[in-house]
Amino acid sequence: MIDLAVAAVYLATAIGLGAAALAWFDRERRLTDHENLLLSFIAGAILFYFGTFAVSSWRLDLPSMGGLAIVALAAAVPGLRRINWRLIVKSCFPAGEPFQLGLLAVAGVVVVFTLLQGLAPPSNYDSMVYHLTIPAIDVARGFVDIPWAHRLPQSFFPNFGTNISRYSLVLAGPGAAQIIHGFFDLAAAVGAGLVARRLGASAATSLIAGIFFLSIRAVIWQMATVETDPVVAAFAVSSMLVYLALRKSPEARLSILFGVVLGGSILTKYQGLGIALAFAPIVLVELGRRKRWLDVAAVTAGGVAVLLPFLARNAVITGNPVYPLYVPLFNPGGLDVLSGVADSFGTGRSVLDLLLAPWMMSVFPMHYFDGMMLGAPYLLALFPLILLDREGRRRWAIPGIVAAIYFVLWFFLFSQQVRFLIPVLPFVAGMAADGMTWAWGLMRGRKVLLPAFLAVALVYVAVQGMFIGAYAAIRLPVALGIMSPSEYQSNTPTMRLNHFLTCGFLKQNLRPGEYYYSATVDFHSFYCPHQNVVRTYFDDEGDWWLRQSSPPAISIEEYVRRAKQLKFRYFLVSTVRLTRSQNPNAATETREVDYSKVRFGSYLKPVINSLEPVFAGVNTAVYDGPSVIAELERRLSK
Amino acid sequence: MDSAKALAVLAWMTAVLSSYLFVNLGYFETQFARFGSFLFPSLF
Repeated sequence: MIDLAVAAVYLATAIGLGAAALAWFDRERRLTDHENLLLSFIAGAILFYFGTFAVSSWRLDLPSMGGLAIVALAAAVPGLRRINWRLIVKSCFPAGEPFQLGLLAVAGVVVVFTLLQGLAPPSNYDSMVYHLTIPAIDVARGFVDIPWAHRLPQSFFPNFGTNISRYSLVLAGPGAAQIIHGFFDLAAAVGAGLVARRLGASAATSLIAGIFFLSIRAVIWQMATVETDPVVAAFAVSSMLVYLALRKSPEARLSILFGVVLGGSILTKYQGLGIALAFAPIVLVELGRRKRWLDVAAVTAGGVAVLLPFLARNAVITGNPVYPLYVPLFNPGGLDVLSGVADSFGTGRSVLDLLLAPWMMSVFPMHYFDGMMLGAPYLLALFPLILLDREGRRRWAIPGIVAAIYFVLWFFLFSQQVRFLIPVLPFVAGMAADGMTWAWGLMRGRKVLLPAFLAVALVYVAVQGMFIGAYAAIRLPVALGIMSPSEYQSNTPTMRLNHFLTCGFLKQNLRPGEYYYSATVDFHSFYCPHQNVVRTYFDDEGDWWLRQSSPPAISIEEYVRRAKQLKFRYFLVSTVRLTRSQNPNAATETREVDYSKVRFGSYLKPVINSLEPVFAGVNTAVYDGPSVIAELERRLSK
Repeated sequence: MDSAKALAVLAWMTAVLSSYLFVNLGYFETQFARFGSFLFPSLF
């Protein structure tokens, strides 16, 4: 319940703060009431980010975050009163429009049930590695700093979402963080509809655009996690709304807002740079044509103002404002953690691959890409249809160009993970909705083709409905308290790799002052205790990865000496590796742990094999520290 | 003209869907077995 309350307070605070800011940015009321509400949330979230960013560097605890929440909520009240709530609520219940009402009901059910899934304990990989783990380490420490010894270069990733998680973990738990991230997914869906509406689509088509975005499998999955791709989408689609308003009536304040929102997309994930670059040509051409160079400067100033604190922090600490990007350029010799990632997915990077990519990622997602991200290929089936319609081509030209440029950047410069395309999928969803409306116009009244069209559409709906329903069936029982977190984390297929059980054992059994050593292969889980742990590297050697590509050499004798000095009570190790990566059928493969990739693994492996664990989880186990150290010593003295 | 367009649209939508279902048959089989046994243990 506290998770829901904290998330609700965040929502109200962001809208209220942003509405007050919008009164300045959009003094001439170029945005509609609905757009104003969306942009208020987005702008307010950025303002609140700065509050969290500043306060958490000093203190990250209940008084500091609670105080921030109270002050920000109080400051948000006047803004909340500026929103035209009467019109917003009225538009949710359109009188005399049963079809629109039905669409709103469908969207409402999906939104409520998916947001509630955010109360399920997190188990997705990225959250376990860094999205939630870094904030949890900060909370344990009591202020924000770089967890050097954890070797987490992700600490320098854009931190908009990380600060939401910090705020949430202090005041409630991961559930609040997941629900707040879900609000941004909802914002992106609403934005998809609002862009369609601003471009002249009907209310029903606009609602379908929102539903199409919301129904994307990766969006449903991420909506109940702290993954950030749909958050970037929320910023991207909000940028589009401001740009379309700006295009109609250019002015400096809206230009600043446009820059601020674009900056927000970069502040959320480096893929936001792709969004900014995708907008750049049309913005420069349009504003340049009108010789509004001051507005171009205003856009740049807005973006820089939002990004400056984050970029400055990275530059001061690492010498690289966009660390861990461009490591060879800024940090020669340092560990380039992202090297190799770029080539892990896709069919290749030729022009033919580029042209075939929409088909391959929609039809062969399990073979070449990062899994079943889109679900049923309804976007591919419908969005190209607007090319056949002159009105559709004209209407979607600008979002289409932005999406196309981003797609090309993604294809040639990014890791070709389909989820990284989510930022522009609100536009594709809008085009697909418009394509469907056009197709419906073609089919209507045809005795044979109309039933066939409906039958095919029904299969698409059924397949996508299964994906949406499956997530609800899996996550809702634990979210609503019908299933225990322990049963959920240890029995749910594909969601068991979070070290939940072993970390729980450590939390229960580690006494104050006792240390443990973590040598797990993939990550040090969010669920593990974050104090008194040595995660592979010792504190005094923690920042090696900034300067060199391999860790400092420590002899096994020195390692044992340090282990004895810290009196490790437990050793946490991986026992087996379960993987489903790029496997067409998503069948789980069980692999042995490659101890050559574990520091001191060649010494630890025989020791671990000769002892019985004191506790075993799904893929990790806890060993008695003194026994491990004694066995290491015995083998060394041979 | 519109009839030809309507037929082409339907053919395209069907081709995309059937290719997707055919290619990913193994995936759906795995998912049904995996999550079916978790969600409805008595049925699988």
